[in-house]
Amino acid sequence: MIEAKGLTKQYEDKKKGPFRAADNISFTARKGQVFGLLGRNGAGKTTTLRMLSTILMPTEGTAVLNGFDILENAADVRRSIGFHTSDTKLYDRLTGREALEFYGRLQGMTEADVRARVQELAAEFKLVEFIDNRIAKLSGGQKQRISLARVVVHRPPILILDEPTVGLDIMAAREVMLFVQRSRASGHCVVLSTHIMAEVEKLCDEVAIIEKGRVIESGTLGAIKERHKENEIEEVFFKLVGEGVQ
Amino acid sequence: MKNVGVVYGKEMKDALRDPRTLLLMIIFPLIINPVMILFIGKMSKSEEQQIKSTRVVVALQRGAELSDLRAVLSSEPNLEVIESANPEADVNSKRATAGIQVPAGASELLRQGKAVKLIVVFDGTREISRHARDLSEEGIKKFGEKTTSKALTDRGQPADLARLVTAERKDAASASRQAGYLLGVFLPYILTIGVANGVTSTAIDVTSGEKDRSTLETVLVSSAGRSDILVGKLLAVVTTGFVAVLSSALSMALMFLGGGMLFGAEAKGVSMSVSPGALTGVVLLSIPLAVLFSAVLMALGCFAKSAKEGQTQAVYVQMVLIFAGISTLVKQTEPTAQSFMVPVLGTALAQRELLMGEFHPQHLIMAVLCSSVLAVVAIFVAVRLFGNEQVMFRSK
Repeated sequence: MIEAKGLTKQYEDKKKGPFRAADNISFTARKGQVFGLLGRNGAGKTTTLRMLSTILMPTEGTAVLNGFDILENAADVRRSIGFHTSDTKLYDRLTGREALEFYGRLQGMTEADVRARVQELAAEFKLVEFIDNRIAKLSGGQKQRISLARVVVHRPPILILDEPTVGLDIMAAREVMLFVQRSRASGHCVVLSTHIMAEVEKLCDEVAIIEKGRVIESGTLGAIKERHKENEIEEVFFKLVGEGVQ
Repeated sequence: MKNVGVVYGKEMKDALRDPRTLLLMIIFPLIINPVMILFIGKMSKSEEQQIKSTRVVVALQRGAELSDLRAVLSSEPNLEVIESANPEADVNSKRATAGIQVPAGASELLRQGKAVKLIVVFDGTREISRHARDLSEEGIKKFGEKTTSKALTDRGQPADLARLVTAERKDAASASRQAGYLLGVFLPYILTIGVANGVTSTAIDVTSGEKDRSTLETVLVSSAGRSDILVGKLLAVVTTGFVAVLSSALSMALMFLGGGMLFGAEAKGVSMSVSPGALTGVVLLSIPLAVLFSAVLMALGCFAKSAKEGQTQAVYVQMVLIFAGISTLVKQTEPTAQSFMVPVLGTALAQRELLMGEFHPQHLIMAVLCSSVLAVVAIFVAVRLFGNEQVMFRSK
């Protein structure tokens, strides 16, 4: 469902010269699977996910999502994905319903379909009570639920979630984790970036550990732990990237 | 194109729910601006009346022996004549509001039928002194006529000989042309500022404002093309600018037609009327300007790292626009053809011509073409910037 092939993003730093935020990143994520990208801040996770979602153009390499190449069929790729980060906000002056309908229309859904879908999501994400209130007046948790509903409004087969629980309170974070589990169960392919190891253990089927823009380890959780003779992925992570960390 | 409409609809809904946009688009042009203009007009009128009713003191050179001049001046209500050894010193010390210096032996020279030159001394920095100067000059003129008439009569000549040739003013411009001229002086400025105010807040909000609020990515990961998104946003910004122009034009037209309260038009005897066609043309001429301003401000908004930076840059643009607007106020000479190709000024001049009932297609084309070409360039730049990831995702 996702095949990243040598994704590279190079920036020109005026002082330091060329700098590779992502360097030859390759991995495969399948349907009904949660694929985790692990790495510390600045490792290259967000850059990789932004390239997958066509927000950024790779300097080298490409990726195929749901059969569409990010370089050749960007619009089809965007139609196939739901993208979310913990930073992502909604338009405060719209109501929840207006926001969801807006994103549905923007993804090419018909008027009838978008209205029916929003009703469906209102029930699924328990939005009914506040969906017609302006987003500015909603609580953090309510906004979070509308945000998650936005991700799947156009029924994308692939979800790309960039550190979706960072900065959230425990209840909102749990909401996100349940959402990921539900999405996997319903056959979505989920790519999730995080540096929270508990999330990885709980959610991910396969992971790729990224450090300084490069994949330094990848595979199923079990295989990685066995290769490094550790019981927890956190220990493996620190072993690989945590030089100097006691 | 469907996505352009979807983005446009959302942006309009968003803008109309933003109190700042409503304030700049409707409340300011429709209510605040006319109230301010009326207030300034009333203040100016009241100031004028106050000056006319203030008593002024004119220092007449001591020993001038021009009793007729003194009598003429004294006949003026609110004018007191005092004798002064040094009228200029009295004006400077504010003992007198104005003064009249009379050369020695003036009375005798006049009796002999010889010319005499009187000097009116005043303080140009004081409004009241300038008023006293005008009264003094008027008095001297009457005194001069009286003296000349007397001299002619004494010589057995008819008194009217001094007034064989007189001049009277007659304005050849029709009443509607005069009305158009008066409206044409300030309406283009009001519309220019109106459109700039109308678009600024929305243009920055839909570009760098989205960067700040982290809502941009949610739109960029949709299947809509980036040009479609930008054009949808641009149309919304242009709409807010156009509504601001309509509000400004409506309020000014109502003020103008509802009694000519501006520029003392009534006092000048100008009949207040302007053709609806001309007013429509004036409003339509503002559309290319609205597109130009919108595109420029959106390009700046795309380039800015944050809404704060965008607002700062918008202030610079507004300063340029205010300067351009002021140039439309001061440009009163006959415009050359090239003037119509100067951005903002060209539009203002074409608007003025329309209001005065003049229709010069070549001037209209030049003004529209100039703004349109620049608008296309600005849209192109805005589209390029919006599609440039290095610009749109520059770190703060």
